[in-house]
Amino acid sequence: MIVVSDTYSEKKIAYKSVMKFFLLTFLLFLGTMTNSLSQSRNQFGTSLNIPVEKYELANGLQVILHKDNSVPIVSVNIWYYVGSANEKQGRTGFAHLFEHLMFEGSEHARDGLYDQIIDGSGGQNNGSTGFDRTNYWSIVPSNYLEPVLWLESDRMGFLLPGITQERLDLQRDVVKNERRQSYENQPYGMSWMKIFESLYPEGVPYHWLPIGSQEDLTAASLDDVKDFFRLYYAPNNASLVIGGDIDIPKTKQLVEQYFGGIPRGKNIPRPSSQDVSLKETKRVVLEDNVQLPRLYLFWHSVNMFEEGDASLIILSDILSSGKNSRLYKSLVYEQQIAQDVSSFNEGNVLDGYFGIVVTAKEGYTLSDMEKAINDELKKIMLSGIEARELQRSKNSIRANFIYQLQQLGGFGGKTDLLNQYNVFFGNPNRFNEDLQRYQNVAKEDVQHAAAKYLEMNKRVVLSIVPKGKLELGAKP
Amino acid sequence: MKSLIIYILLLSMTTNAFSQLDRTIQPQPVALPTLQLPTIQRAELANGLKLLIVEHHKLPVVTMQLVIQTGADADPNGKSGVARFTASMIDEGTKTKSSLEIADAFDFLGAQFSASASFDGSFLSVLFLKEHLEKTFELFSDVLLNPTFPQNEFERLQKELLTSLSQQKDRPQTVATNVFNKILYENHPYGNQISGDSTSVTNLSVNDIENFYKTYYLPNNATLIFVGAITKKEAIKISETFLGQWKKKSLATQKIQASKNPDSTMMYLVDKPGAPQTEIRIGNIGAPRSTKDYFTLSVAQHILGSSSGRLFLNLREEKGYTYGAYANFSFRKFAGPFVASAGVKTEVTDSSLIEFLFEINRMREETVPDTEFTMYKTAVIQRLLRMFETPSQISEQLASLVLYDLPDSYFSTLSNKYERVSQNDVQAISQKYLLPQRLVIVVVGDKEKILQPLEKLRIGKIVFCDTEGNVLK
Repeated sequence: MIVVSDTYSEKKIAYKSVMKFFLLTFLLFLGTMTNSLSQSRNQFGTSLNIPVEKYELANGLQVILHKDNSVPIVSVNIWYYVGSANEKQGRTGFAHLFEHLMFEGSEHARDGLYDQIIDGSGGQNNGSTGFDRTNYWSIVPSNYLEPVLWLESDRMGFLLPGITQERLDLQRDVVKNERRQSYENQPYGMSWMKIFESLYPEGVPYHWLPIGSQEDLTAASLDDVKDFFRLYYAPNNASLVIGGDIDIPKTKQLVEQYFGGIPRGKNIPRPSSQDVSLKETKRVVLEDNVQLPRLYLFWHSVNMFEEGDASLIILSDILSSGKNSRLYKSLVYEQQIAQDVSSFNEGNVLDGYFGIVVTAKEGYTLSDMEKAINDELKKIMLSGIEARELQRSKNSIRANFIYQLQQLGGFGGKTDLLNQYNVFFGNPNRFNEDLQRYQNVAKEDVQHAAAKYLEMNKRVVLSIVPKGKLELGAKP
Repeated sequence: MKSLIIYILLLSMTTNAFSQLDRTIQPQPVALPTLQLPTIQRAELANGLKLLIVEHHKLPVVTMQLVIQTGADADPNGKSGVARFTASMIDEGTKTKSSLEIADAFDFLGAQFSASASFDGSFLSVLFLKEHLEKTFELFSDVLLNPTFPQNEFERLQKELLTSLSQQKDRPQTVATNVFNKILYENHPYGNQISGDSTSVTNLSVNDIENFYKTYYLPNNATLIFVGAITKKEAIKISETFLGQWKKKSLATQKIQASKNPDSTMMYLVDKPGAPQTEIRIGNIGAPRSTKDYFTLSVAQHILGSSSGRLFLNLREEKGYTYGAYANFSFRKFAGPFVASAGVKTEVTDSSLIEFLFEINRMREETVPDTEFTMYKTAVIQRLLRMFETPSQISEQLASLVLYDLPDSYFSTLSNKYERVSQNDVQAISQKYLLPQRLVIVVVGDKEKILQPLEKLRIGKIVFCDTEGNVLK
């Protein structure tokens, strides 16, 4: 998932170093909430069923409570159904800039009080902005639930009095620094922008990344901030999950007390799907300050959790997860022509994409990489996959699903997953249905998905090459 | 009945009435909950292998971590990278299984195996589902006891590592950290990268790996930590079955040379033409994990360098120079570095350095004001509540007991130890450990734009380095 993440956590540096991994695998992990429940229900009893209570306030705020008293902490996780897909070209980066402002103070909790209370409690908080949604979370000792709800409701209901031109200018600088830090001053850092510019037409959502452009960030005005807030940061566009060491009746009362009076907003306009299909292969070459060339192959795939999505996720596993995966084994392990390879399928609300990324070893060109990848893809399209490969992938997916239930809060934690299901499907407890999708995938489904979605002549081929070495790029 | 309904209506009216809520009153936390600390159970096999077990039955998941108490600080001279390389070779072949077969077996179980090394230790860990205990343990013990370190796999990994070391030059963040360590520690092992550098890795052979393995991968130099859906009885039984034959041997003692701070502050510049940001590292040699100042230093580093600390608030939240500024002490067996860091916009490189030095000096010169001090100290104490949530987190905590020889009761004493830290203590240790006159300052950025402003600062002689920390003439 393409997200811009704003860490206020003490592990920030460590976190950022895994950011690329995170970008590539976040939804993959969310997506890997596999089944096997069908095989394992007897063994695990009800331990995989997440007990939740969902209800809606009169103002439209959706509330999901999950009690888990095993540790004395509480996770407050809130998703707003707005992301960079809601932006207009020429005003990119706005949803994310706005996310930064959410930490800067609201009418009754001014000037950094948000961080002071949460960090001062020994807790953690963070937020991220994606194409389709923006999320915020905090984890605090459970006795801080009420202060956190006060803060969270204040910035939902009373943000604007806290936002001044000065605050806006300052966070604009911070976001520009983030862009430098995470994109411009990173090797291969501009690749994602190029890919999405090439994959989606001008003016269409997903053509630009949540981080936006430096020029558009400069252009964002205080009026833009206010309009954006009034439209999108309304209770009827939000989903609140509270999980952990809570008392359900008491928590319900607090939620009503702090959020109940925030007025419902207008109906939210949603961006619509458009025909984004590629008519032919697009080749793009970009020079960068890097030692080794890297190739990116991207296709349009399917929307989040639609037919084909599970098969494509399993396909990506079979292509590049573990030493025995097809691309790793062939390119990295046996031929040793590549330094690393990864692949992923990600479904978003309006569209999905499948990507393969490979770094060539010294002495090899990206044409070599493209050919080697094509060969492996063709094998799958023609001869399908082995039963053991499929089962290995299903087993890992099932295990990963259980592993990720270990953590209550944070990105990809239990409370985040509940919100993801709720925002996109209106049902937080969709674990079982989601799991079943993977279990249902047959060998032929993976073969068909490869043939149907990974067409050789309709894809984006991005070559990033060392400065002055255009000849290393992938040629038709 | 009717009156009850009215009562409920009234009650809900009072609690629901938005207008009645006075938002200017900041609600205060209720009484702090208590954390049930994990119960640590111990056992030892006849060969000296220690077992630490924490039962955690929330999910059918177990994590197992073997901690070997020797890491990269035992890399032989000129052969940095051996400890890490040994760990990465451990699952590349056993007497009965090939590299690919091992990977397939772990993956088929959905088990996540990893092997790594730090300066202080080497670690093999695996996260798996309880239902696969037997199979996972059998595999785990096979890679641990029967590695064959095949020549062809060694060569493959060596090439891969050399390539990735060359790729490091692309990342100014990594360059800055590596150059900083190399300059600060000179020939001390902490001046090396754990993965080694291109020269040392080129010189490695399978022999070096085998030697490291034979010398240090010993039951009497190791602790196996179990956390998850497993009982003490099960853990002992399976360890005896599969690791009972692991032979103990006498252990070589380690000698490490002393490290020393520079006599005066020096600045090292690595040119990265056209870079939109400058990566900054500033620091000196800190303290070992065993220092009696550990708790005071932990509070001090939180005040100065955490994500709600002074550097972050100053350089990011007030000035907008950076996406984040931090500082921390690396506590290891020997004195690790104290380092403050940030990536800052090129144009404000000099201004950022001024702020870094200002905050470092402020820690030394002023007592931290009461409210600020209470907030930071409370944070340090209360964050313990979320450090024991998952089996992996608990296992991490237990590994620190093993590596630094701390008692099982350690976690239950933490709050009190932090509680006793005073503002004067923090100022005193800042004077002792933050040394503005003896700093190593590394900047990686666009020389053409930053050199002149940096020269004007006059905070130390400026020396030019390449991306590997070699001084350029």
